[in-house]
Amino acid sequence: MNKESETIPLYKILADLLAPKLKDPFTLSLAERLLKVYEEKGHRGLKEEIEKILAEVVEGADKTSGD
Amino acid sequence: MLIKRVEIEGFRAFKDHLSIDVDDNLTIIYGPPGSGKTSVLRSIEFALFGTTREVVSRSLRREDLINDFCDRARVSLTLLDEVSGEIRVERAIDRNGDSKLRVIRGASEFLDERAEEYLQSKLGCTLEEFTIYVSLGHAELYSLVYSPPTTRDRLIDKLLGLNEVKRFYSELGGRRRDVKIYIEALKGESKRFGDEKVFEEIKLYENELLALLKKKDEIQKELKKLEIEKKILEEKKSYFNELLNKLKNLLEEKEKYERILRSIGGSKVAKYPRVDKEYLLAYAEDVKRRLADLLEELYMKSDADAIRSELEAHNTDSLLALAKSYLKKAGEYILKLEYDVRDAYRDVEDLEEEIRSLEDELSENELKIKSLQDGKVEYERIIKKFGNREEISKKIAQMEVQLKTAHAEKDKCLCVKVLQEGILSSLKSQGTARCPVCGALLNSATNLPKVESPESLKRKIDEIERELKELRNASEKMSRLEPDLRILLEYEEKGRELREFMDSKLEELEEARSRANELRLKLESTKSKFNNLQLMIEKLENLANIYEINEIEDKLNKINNELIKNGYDETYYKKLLEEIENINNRIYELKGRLDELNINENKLLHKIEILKLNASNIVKLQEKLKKAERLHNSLEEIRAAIKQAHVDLRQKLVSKLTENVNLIFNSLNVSKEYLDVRVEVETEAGGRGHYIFYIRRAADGNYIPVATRLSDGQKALLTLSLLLALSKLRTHKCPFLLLDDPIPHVDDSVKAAIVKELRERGAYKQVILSTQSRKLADELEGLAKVYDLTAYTKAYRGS
Repeated sequence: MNKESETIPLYKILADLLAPKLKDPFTLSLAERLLKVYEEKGHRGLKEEIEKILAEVVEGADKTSGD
Repeated sequence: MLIKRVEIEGFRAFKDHLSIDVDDNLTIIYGPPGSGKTSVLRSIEFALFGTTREVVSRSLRREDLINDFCDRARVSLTLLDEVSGEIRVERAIDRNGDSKLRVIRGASEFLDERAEEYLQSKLGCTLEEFTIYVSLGHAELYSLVYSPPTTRDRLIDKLLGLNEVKRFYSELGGRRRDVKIYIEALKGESKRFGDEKVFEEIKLYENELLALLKKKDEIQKELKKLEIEKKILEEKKSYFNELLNKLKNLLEEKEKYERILRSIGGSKVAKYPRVDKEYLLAYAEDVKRRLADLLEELYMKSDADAIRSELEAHNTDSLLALAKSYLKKAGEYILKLEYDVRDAYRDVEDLEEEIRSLEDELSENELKIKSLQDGKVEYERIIKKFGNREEISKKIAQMEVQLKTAHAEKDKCLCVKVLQEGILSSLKSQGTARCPVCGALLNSATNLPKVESPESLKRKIDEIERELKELRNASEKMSRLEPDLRILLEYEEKGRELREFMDSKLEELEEARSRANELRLKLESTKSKFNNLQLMIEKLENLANIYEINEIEDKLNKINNELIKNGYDETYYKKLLEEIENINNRIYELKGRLDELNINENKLLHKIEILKLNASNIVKLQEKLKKAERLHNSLEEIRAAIKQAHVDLRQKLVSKLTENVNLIFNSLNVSKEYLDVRVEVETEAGGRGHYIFYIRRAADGNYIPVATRLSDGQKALLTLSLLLALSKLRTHKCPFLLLDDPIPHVDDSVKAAIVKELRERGAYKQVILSTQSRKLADELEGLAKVYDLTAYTKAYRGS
């Protein structure tokens, strides 16, 4: 029996579709990161990830001002 | 994850225990209508979700899941997970509504809520999703193509995973809003710290601080100048003060000695304004001599010798110190002498008291003697009359013998008288008579002896008895008096002793009085000498003081001369003091202003510090704001891109879907009346996709909408093809497919083709298919594991 899946992960297809649309590397990597998290952990994971990213941003801002 | 075994008991159609070992690829459940095919498939649903679609849609009650002849339904499912290995799921409900779930994984066991969570994590789909693409009957299959457009579009979107994209888009919107809220909060916080105004305020306060520091500097310079001036003036003042202090001390001392002089007699001081050194020493020598005499008189010879031998250097100060010390010692001795005098007089008083007490005792003794004297006189009278005790006893003994003799004689006389009367009577009558005693013959009475008369004898006896009585009375009285006489003797003896003792005490008293008088006289004389000496020492001291004052006056004169010589001027001094005071006032004023400025400076620094802190916070917040806004913009950008990508993705997936559906449909469709299938999609303004299915008719090659022309069998084939094509486009955590007689209206050859397709093209690893076709079951024997539910003890097994 040939049970090999022809499927490609949805986030991967979406990421491919988003790549030409998002010129900013930060935005593109952010989109990929969020898509992957959503694929793996669902909406709860996405919420946590955004909080994490926000914290990273704030921390980054603190570090910059500290420097 | 694969299903390995299903065990059912008391669930829906199954009263008794049923166990089905599921094949890893394809399992066929065969049975006529009502044999329990659907119950087997629902038992899996029940084991995994605790309910079934019928209960959720309320076409059945939960207790309807329990067999009518049972109180409890129990389903056990054995699963095989690639990661966790074998997992056993046991679920049961009873008619009371109690349900239990137990999941066993190796040595671990989860119950109820934890077990549900674990199962969900392993399945990765909800019951709704399970009913759409995992466990389907022909009704669900038809709904893919033939349900109302909205439902159909939603289902296909879901199976394509597009609603996931939509949900992601929507979730992203929610998260973007969260970021926006965060940005607003940052802005609010920045506003709270004062925003840009803070920087202006800092500048303002810093300028104010600079002005203040300038003012402070000016004051400090002036203060420094004043301090130097003050120092010069203070030095001058200090010099004058030193001289003045000296002068003041000497004046005070002079005043003190003048007061002393006045107290010892002002006239004498006036008379002898200056004390000669030789006179002072001669006087000191006299004091020393008299003091030595006094000490000797007080039996302090060694001290007397000491004071005589000391002070050869004629030092009056030392002499005064020593004299005072010895005088103090002598005073102590005099005090002792006073105690001696007091003790001596106390001895005298004690002796007088003792003598008075002796006199009282003597007087009492004499009174007692006197009271006993009468007894003594009476006793002596008895002795004089009757003799002493021995003589009286002797007389009493003699008298008692005499009395006894007298009584015997009286009795004898009476007997003789009787005999004589007999004789006389005989003589008288017979002339003779015979003596009754001796027998002699008597002729006459003359020969009869004379006998004393009894009366005379009685008188004699009475006399003796009277005398005897007197003697006995006297003896008895003497016996009574004798104890008193003995006591009297004791008192007399005691009286003698007391008198002797008193005499000795009187002598002692005399001696004590004499000693006390002697001591008193000595004390008076010593005291008088002591007082005189004390006066002399005081005088000596005063003289020494006067002598000292003379010296001090000389010193005063010297200091006055020195002040004049150094240019001391009271007016100048006062002016100097005024000037210093003015400078001090100015310094005080300036220091006050400086303190005020310091306070203001601290306040300003504190304000600036707070503002700088706020500014720093604002900078940090702005930095954060910038980053957060960038994140927000990125999310916005991603959302916009996703919105567009969603449409592109749908097109892409639909294109792939068309390709797959064609392949599957052509392999199943043995009649070849219809050929290719085409799926078209229209995206609405809101992003929703509207799916339309076309099929090419072989007869004319035209694409016609599937909803209008196809038979039920063709429809079923088309929908199954669509499902299998969709399954190829998505992966699920549930790699098994449960089909509940999905195509009842096609012949067995088509069904066999479907099974073949399922085995070869489907994306599912494991398929459980129920069918009413006995022929199909028989045909598939050897290719799949087949269970016949007509008598569920019998199982068909493949080779």
